[in-house]
Amino acid sequence: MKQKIQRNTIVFILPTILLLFFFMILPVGESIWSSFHSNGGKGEFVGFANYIALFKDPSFLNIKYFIRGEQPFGALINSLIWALIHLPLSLGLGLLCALVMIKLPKLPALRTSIFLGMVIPGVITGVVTQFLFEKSSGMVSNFFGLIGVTSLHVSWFAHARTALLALIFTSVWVWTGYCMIIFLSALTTIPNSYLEAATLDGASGIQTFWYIKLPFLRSSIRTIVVMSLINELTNFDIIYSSTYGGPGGASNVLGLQMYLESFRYSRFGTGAAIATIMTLLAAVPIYFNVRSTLRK
Amino acid sequence: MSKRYILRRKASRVFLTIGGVLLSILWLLPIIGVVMASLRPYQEIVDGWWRFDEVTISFANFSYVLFKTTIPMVRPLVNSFVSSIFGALIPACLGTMAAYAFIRHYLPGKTFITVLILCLMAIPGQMIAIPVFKRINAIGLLDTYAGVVLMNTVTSLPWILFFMMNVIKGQSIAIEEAARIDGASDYRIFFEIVVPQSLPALGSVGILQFVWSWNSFFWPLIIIYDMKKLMATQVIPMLRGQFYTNWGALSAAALLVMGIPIIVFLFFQNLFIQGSVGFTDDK
Repeated sequence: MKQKIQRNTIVFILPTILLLFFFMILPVGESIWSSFHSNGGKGEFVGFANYIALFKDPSFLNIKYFIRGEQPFGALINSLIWALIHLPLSLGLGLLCALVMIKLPKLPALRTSIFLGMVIPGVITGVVTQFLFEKSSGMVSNFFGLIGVTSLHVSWFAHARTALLALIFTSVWVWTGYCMIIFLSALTTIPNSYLEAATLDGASGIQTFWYIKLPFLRSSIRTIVVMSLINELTNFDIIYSSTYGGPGGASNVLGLQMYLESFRYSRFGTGAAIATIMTLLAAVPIYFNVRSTLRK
Repeated sequence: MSKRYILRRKASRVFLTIGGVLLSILWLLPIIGVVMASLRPYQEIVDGWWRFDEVTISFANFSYVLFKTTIPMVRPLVNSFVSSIFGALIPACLGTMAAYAFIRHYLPGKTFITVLILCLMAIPGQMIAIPVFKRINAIGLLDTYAGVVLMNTVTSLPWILFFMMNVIKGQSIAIEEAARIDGASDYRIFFEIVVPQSLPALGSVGILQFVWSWNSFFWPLIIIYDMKKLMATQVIPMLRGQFYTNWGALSAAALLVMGIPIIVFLFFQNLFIQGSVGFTDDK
């Protein structure tokens, strides 16, 4: 029997389809299109010129300084560093918190306080970070002063070496909560009988974790990697409201660079090229996510 | 052996509890810092809010940022509140309707739709910002709340679709089929069977989406520029001066802006967390 699309079906999906088409799908195409066209003037086709110019622009990619180990490395490298440090830290801390909190079901307030950072706006996180890394009133800076590491008893944002790290660590503070609740929901699906059997057989804590809990956490790890990579590569709010990429571009990232090029300097072609690169980077984790979803 | 074993278990329990409490206090400290800085005068907190040699509590910072600065916060807070309600309700309704049709109705290319939705969930705002800015300008929604609500709606539809499709897929189809045999229309089935069954999930969508609309910064920054129309999140970076920052005022403003999402979260914790877990996890 050949089925036909019902009129009612159209009514149900049309608003969503139209909105997504005109304000998301079409704009993606338009952005790619304008990344191949010149910034000003009539907007003639320029091929890969915008991309080539970007890779020559030291505020986007500064290999010479990167090799010397001296900021600014440029937005691209900074975003990659962000992902490289942020992902394992928030994943590890989130797992640690989840493993502790699963044993303390009667104290849900503890979980709440760790998750709180995830609830507040990104621009506020940018303010919070000042309370951690400012020389006189920041907790982390003062902690390093207390244990005698005077080189870190400074305002982290005033120094090219530490500005990006301060932002990354604050973001870890936020994302640990997200990782924790994803892990917690997976840990609760482990049947109690498995854990009891392991205890009876005399398995150590580490053995129980490695052979019983970890296999249950595999899909959570995938979820977290995808979600946090997308966030790490497109981050904007927290940087805008704290360092604005400074000092001297030391904490500049792709999200901010794209905003500056497009909406401060009105170089739409360049901005679109950065956005396309960001999306291509974010497409890597999404590809694996789509593949595993389709397998089910 | 058994006595020692019980003792050891008790000891590890105490150890775990202490560890958990310490972890959560550590994570709360930055927020406590903001609260302290907003309530106490600058001289007391300039060397660290954790010094309590002298403690004066005053709400001067709050009344300053709410009424007396160049951008009184009352208006932005109201702006954000109203547009976040619309930014939650509209996508929740549209997304649920579409999710129902995608799951239960006949449509060709359903796998393609699922893949497309998954991909759209990963599109960064920056990727669509420039064309969206031009289009919103063209239809006259630049510098309006409708423009912000529109973009909060569009960018949230993918995850709401994904989430609600999973929810509706999990519901029993038997009741719907029975109703259809009794001659109920698609609309009746949707409003009288699907929606009531999905209420907890819809609650999660509404709560999460309200908080995310409130927290959104990128779209307001691009769409709203009239100083009288600013959203709450937009005011925060403006309070930071280039050379001098009034930390007390900034903290008070920050507390006001994060207070709403925190209160909403504390009231609807379970819905919020179920939503946060469910929109990415496919079971």
